[in-house]
Amino acid sequence: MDEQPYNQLAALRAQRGLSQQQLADAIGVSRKTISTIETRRFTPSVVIALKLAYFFQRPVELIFSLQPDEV
Amino acid sequence: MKTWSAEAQAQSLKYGAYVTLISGLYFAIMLVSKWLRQADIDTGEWPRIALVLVALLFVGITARLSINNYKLCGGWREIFGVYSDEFTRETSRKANARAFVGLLIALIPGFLLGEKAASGGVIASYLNVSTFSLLLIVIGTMVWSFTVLWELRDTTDEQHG
Repeated sequence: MDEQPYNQLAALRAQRGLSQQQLADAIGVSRKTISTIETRRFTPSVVIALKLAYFFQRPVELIFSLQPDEV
Repeated sequence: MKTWSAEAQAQSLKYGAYVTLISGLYFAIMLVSKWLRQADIDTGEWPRIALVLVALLFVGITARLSINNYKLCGGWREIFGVYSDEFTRETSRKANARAFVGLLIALIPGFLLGEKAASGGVIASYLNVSTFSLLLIVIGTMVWSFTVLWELRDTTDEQHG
């Protein structure tokens, strides 16, 4: 069973017109962290999820979800 | 304490994997050369030439990676693999774990063959402390570096998702 959560990161980033590097610098992680989260190769910790939620001013569950249609 | 940026951590791990891969290649040539000599296969000067070329490659790559990249150096944090960037830390741990499993898998047949080698014969001529140590080094370095390079493989930096 695929337990990697779905996310809206790429769409939210596009809305803000940010590159992966800019988002990575903003929350203090590497660009690889952002790119692998977006492609669902890497599941971030709660700390990074909360940093992203704070950055985009949205609840975590609106950024990450276990079902593709929930985000 | 000097800041070591998340980007620099990922980059330095990747460079470390390249250097480790080349080291593994050097020891692999040594191992194959020993086995070929044991099998009475004449390889001439080729193993030595290959070793010198790989050593030069090692020096060249290390020098190339060092130029203008002094900011990537994490000092003792890099030596001990203390990464604060989450993905880099996960990648380092994954590579360490896989290399460890690879070594364990090699040690089990090593133990069984070692028992037979103790009584002499063909196995003893190919398998001794020197060749088995080289084999462990090759397995460890290859598994570790390939894991890191695979995990850090390039993905496009899309400007707008």
